[in-house]
Amino acid sequence: MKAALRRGGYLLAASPPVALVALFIGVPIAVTVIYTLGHLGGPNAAVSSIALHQVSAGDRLLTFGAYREVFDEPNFRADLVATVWVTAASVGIVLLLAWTIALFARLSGRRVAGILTSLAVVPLFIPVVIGSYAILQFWSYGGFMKTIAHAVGLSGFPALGFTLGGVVLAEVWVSLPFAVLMISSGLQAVPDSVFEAARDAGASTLQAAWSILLPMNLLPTIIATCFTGISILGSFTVPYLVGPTSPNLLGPLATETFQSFNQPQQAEVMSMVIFGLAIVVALPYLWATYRSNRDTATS
Amino acid sequence: MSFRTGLCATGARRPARVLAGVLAAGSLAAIAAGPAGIASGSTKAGPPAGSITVFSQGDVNVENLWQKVLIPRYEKKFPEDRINLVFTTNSAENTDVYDELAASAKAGKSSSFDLLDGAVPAEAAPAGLLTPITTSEIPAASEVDPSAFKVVDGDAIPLRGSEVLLAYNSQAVKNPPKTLNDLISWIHAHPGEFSYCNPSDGGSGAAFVEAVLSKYTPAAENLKMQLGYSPSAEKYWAKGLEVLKSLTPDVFQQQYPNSNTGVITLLASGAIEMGTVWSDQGTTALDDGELPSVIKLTEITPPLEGGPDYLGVPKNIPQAKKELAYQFINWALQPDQQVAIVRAMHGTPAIEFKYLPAKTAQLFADYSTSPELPYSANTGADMNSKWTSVVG
Repeated sequence: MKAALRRGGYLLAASPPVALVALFIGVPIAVTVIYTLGHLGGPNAAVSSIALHQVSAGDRLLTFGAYREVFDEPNFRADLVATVWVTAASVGIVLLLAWTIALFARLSGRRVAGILTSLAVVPLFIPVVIGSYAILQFWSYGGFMKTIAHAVGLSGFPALGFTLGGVVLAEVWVSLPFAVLMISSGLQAVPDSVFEAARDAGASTLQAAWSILLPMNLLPTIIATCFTGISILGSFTVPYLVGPTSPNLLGPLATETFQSFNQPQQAEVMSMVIFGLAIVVALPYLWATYRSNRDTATS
Repeated sequence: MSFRTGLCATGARRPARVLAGVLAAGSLAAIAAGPAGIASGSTKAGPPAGSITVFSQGDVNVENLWQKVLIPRYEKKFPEDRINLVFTTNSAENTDVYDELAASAKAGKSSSFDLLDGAVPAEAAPAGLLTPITTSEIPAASEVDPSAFKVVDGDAIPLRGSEVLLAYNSQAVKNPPKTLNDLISWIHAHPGEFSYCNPSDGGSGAAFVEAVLSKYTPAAENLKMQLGYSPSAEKYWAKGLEVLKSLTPDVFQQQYPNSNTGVITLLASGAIEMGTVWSDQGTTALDDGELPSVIKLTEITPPLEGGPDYLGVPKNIPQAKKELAYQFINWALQPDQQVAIVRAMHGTPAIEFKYLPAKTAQLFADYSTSPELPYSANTGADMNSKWTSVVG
């Protein structure tokens, strides 16, 4: 009885945030989904009264016409491919850098390692717009890097401004602090004794890192991966400022479709695609939290 | 509905959305209703006295025009009158104001705004939300080029104008192109030296795109797309889009800057020798030293798009407020004010050049009296979409 009451209490305490999420996130998503499936009336009446080139379900239950139209557009497909590879490349580089920095800090424990970790977190305090613009100027055709390279005779040095390579660079800049914080704090939490025991048993530092530190730091790594991936998938500012006219990421294309082409239905289809990709990226995170919750519950 | 704010230095031809604005509209309306609510209509004969609430949207230069030129001069001339300005640099708020206008009209209530400036009037006019402009109420309307009233069904009136010009580096280019055809050949002959911005992001790019598309479109069909929405006429764009696509390898870095300012920056740094810019923005940049003096502005034949920035009086406001708004408009169209506006904005006047003092009129000797009309909002949206799909 007492336990049931307590459970009821938990439920009650959790319900206001749940209701808030359902109301302000759940309802708009539901409205968006039915709009993309061709329901132009009801809550979508206002937007559909002014939109161009909408696909209506008419009397049918739903239509995938708007999805078909969007996927038939070569421009969209090129941007979809760009979004996937830019996200994958950025996440890969972020993980590599974050692990290197965190490992160095964990193993050396020297002052320089601390400074490196602090430096890696600096982008957190610089607004994304400013950072992106700075990167664009720095790496543009007449920018700092190209000028220096030209001065030392490297005329073929790439100008990353307005390229997807530049977008990857800027996404790494923006995402690095969170990954470094997540992974380095996870590494710090691994007790010295475990690591040293492995060393005493004859493992090299790298072996010990691979077989002790990596598995014990898996959850923070997965969290860093998923969150970085999701934020890059839906990013707008970085690709809008740094990226090329086309192909670019889906964020700028969806915004342009919504604002400049006056095609909100097609824009919402694109956001559903981003949403779908984000769910795929979030799966390892859900799996990992489920595992860790189960472990906590059973231990 | 979608907005094209192409006629000020912001110049982003960027249709705004209705839905996003609904929540914010309430707060804006509340700000506007505050000071305006106190004023009562005039009952005595003679010129009306009281206050009007003006909404305007644009870049800082537009705000300065109101705060430093129009309002002080007007309140000096009419000491009894007050202008409450609600100004924003955020073009998305045009949507909020449009919503307020449409919602108050639908509910049979008075709008919070008595006079609208910026992108809203051109959209509100075809929707029947504005009071028709007549010369009996605004005598100075007769000095405005009559063609300026066509796009807005005679329901809004120009305050000032601007057009898109060709900017070029006079040190590098001795004989700038005089026609659109010359310009296209010049771009091919000088790879990497020309740029125009993405038409979705700036009116100066949209003007160039429209000019090339119009070149291959029958005039009657083109006019249909300028005055309204005629999807069937868009089939004539195919040839123009191919020409634009063929230019991509020869534009700077095969990329399109994402703002009007982007082109100015490239001109200023010497990265390009030629580009399309708004007349007011280009002249201001030259005056501020943002652009070096070797950059010159010129018009080509046929002229690129341009046109007026409109003022509109909402239909659903008390008669006394309307009279005050008319009084303001009539005053603003007097040559003295027009000269002040031209000076402050580096734009073109609303009234025909012949009504200006000779010295000011001379400034516009090179300007066309009839720049190309911009495409209507929905035509512009389709143009942006097709451009992105084929060219971008």
